Amino acid sequence: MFEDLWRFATPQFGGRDWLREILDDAFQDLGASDIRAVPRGTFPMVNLGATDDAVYVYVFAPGVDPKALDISIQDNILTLRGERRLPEKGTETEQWPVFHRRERVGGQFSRVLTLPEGVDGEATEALSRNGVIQIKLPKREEQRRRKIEVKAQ
Amino acid sequence: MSQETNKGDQQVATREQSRDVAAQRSERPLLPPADIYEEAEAIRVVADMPGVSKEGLHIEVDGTELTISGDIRVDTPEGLTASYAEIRGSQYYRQFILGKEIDNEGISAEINNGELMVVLPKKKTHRPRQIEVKAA
Repeated sequence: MFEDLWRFATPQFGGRDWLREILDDAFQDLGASDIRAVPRGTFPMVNLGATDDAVYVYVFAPGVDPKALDISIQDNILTLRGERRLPEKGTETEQWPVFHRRERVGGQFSRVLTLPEGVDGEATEALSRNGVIQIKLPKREEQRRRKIEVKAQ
Repeated sequence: MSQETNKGDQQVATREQSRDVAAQRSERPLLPPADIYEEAEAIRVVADMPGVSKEGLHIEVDGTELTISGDIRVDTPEGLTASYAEIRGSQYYRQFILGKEIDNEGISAEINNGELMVVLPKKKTHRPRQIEVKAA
């Protein structure tokens, strides 16, 4: 599915002000940003999507025990809280291991996402697989897509 | 039996095709963040690869070159339209050069909850020895 995101995500050049996009990318601090926006690379990374009747959040949380992940929702504000433990002491000895490279982040995290209006927090479901947690938030009845029938006279 | 084999071949073919399509869209694989640490008898590589199952993981050793790659598979409902994405791509890929002291035959790997652990054992001759100092 995520190969498809190349299509869905903001097109890099096609039909848009590409110069501005490149500059925005290079000087991300310029201009106003959403009050809850975070820099890219914040742990855990998330993808968002929607179908006709639900909003889906995919949380990429490798090495996080799904049971220890605290998911809460108030109106359309989704909060993810948890802790990721990285190996500290060596497996055989009580000494600190010699690190050649440490790129992964560990410790406590919390992340807040603003979702589209009109999701039903009560009916939210979460499912974990291979370090990705899928959160399904059904849309409220009035937010769903409806077909309008044209009546013949 | 032969039917099954055919089916398998077809699956491989479609998979290769989809990879070609991805390549045409100039999709770059994602670089998984990794920790590497040294122990007395092995070097351990731990990498974050969420969305990769045991079946989608490929570990290859060619001489002194270690290649880690994994297909990102996330089951999504039909008709899903993505509105925001921080993880974009369908594959992780990363290479490391190993030292000659690594015992290639003994390399093992496991992936658990999107966290990959590769253990690169050292050859017996390269493990540390305690040198006893004798009294004169």
